[in-house]
Amino acid sequence: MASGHGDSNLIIRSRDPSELAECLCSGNLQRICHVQVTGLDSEPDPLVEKGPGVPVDLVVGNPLEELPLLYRWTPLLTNHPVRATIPVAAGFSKAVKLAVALNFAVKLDVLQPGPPLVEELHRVLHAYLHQTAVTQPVEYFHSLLLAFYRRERLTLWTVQEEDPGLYRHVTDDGLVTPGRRFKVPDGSGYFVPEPGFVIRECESARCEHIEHCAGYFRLPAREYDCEGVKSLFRVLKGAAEDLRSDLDSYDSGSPKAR
Amino acid sequence: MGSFSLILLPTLRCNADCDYCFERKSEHCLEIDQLGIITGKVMDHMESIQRDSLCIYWQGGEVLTLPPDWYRRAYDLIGDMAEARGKRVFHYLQSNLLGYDAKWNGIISEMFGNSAGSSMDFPNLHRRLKAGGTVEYNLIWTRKLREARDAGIKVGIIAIPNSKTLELGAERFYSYFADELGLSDFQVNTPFPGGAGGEVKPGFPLDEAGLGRFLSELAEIWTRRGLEAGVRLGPFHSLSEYFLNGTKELNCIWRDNCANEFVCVGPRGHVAQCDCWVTSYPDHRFGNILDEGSLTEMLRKSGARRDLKSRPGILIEREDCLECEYLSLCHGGCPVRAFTVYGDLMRKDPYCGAYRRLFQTMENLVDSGHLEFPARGAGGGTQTAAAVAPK
Ligand code: SF4
Ligand code: SF4
Ligand code: SF4
Repeated sequence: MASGHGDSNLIIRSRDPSELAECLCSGNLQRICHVQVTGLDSEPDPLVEKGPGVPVDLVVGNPLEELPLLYRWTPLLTNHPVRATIPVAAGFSKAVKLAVALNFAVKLDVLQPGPPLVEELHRVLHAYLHQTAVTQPVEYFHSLLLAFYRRERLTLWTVQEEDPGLYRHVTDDGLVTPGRRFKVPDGSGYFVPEPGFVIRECESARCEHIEHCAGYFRLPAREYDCEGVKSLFRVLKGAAEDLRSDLDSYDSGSPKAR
Repeated sequence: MGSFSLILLPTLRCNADCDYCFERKSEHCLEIDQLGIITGKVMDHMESIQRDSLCIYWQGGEVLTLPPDWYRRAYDLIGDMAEARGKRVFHYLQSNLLGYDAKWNGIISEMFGNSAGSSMDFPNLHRRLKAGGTVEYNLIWTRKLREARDAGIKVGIIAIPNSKTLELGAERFYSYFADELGLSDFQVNTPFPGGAGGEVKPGFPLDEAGLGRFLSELAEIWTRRGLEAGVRLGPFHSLSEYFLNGTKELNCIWRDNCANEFVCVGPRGHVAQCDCWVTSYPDHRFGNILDEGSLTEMLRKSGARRDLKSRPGILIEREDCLECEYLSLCHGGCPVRAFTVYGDLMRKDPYCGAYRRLFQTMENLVDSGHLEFPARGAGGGTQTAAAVAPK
């Protein structure tokens, strides 16, 4: 399948680590951004030694059920940066806790969370910001915190690897799509892969987070109420400001500055 | 490419007769040609898992009951095989020092980088000579320690507390090792009732709360007195590094799964997770490296190893480790401690409460600014077998 996509860079996914290991032995190595393992119940051995340095993304399906399986993938860390992509579904914070305890980076696979999940996201964000034990990046929090701190333009579309200008998702049947966020809710097809059309709605709602969210949470259900996710943006922004003022006061108190 | 670690027991012969030893002793010693076979298979395995360096932790029995010349031949043999296969090998020595004298200096310097690990308890209730008691053991051991250090050997010590240690308290314990013996590098390990039942073993495990209090006090004493003086005291040093900068250079009991990290080979070629499993629990061995064609295959097929590998995943469903605020440090603790206390591998470490109290103390010491980054004068300790498998 990898051969059918011109010169594009590739994220290759499979349930089977030996298939991924084969890809890492082929001539495609330069084009592979990372590989995704979609079946955590398989054995990691074939992947451990292949393609050293190529990042591996462990895609968790059901966070509560698959949680214990994360342990079997720690040997990958010898040769690969490893990330666990964890869906924001009930109980996901437990999987996040274990993943960071195992030194895996984390990407939160978040769609349009309702209030209970927003509350759980707040708990994870608090742990990410304040707990010594969390030494790994938890995305999207990590990149947004840095963007707020550095006052950089960066949107969730990029952080979450879902910008349709940069990423295409090829389904198991070989269909090239702009990704599941663009799937119309009745499943009949995909929205035009152009975030601009939702941004206009956010602009008219005068959203203060448009620079970093850019309508990310407006899809797929346009009527989604963003208040919950906005509260997460506010905590991140506040933490970045605290960090900046802490560092400013540290600098002004240092012998060099005096 | 990383390293592969091997705990190698060239003999189970011992010149001491400690009450709490978990090993079934025997006079059997590894032959040099068998060592060649083992080394070859270990290097094949390293190739299959793409590791370029090998750390060998030499333990017994008592390793110095084999003559220096045996180690000279072993060193040359392993060195030649490693060179031919483009591998690097590092050797670490763990000895009771009773057999140490000047004739060992050459090989300890050359093969072991002039370092050795040894063990002592305070007070010594259980370590005794074959023909003699604990007092004689202390006298000889202290003299040998002094001689080794006078010869320039850097000796790291493992101390195992007993019920009397807990009664006497952390201050006395610390003073004995740091002030009386003048050590700047030692570590505390926890005892467990491994091996065949003996008189002393019913005293283990130690009272969890008492051990927690002791470890906690010792951490505070080390912070107050040891840090400034450049004393490296394990596991407090590595825990302080973790709470200060997130690095995890922890003992095997606190790694996410010791079964991913190393194996142990006994003098008859039996392979298991660490020395207690090799010597005392035949049902939990992975196989015999001298009999089987490939170490890689043996490890892949072994049911005993599969059980060990599945343990942390099972524990987070059965025990409360997932709720533990120190999960990233511990993952359920040591399998052999759980097995020897409960007869069940799939239980968390019986010293869980003591560990949690210690972790909390270390975190408080860092948060309150008593431990600062970088931990002063505490670098470069002696790496002993105990760094991977406490004995
Ligand atoms: S938070 Fe909601 S309103 Fe604001 S930019 Fe994002 S999707 Fe639009
Ligand atoms: S002492 Fe415990 S943690 Fe260490 S290797 Fe043995 S079984 Fe594993
Ligand atoms: S300290 Fe106890 S609860 Fe926490 S991870 Fe270790 S064994 Fe589990």
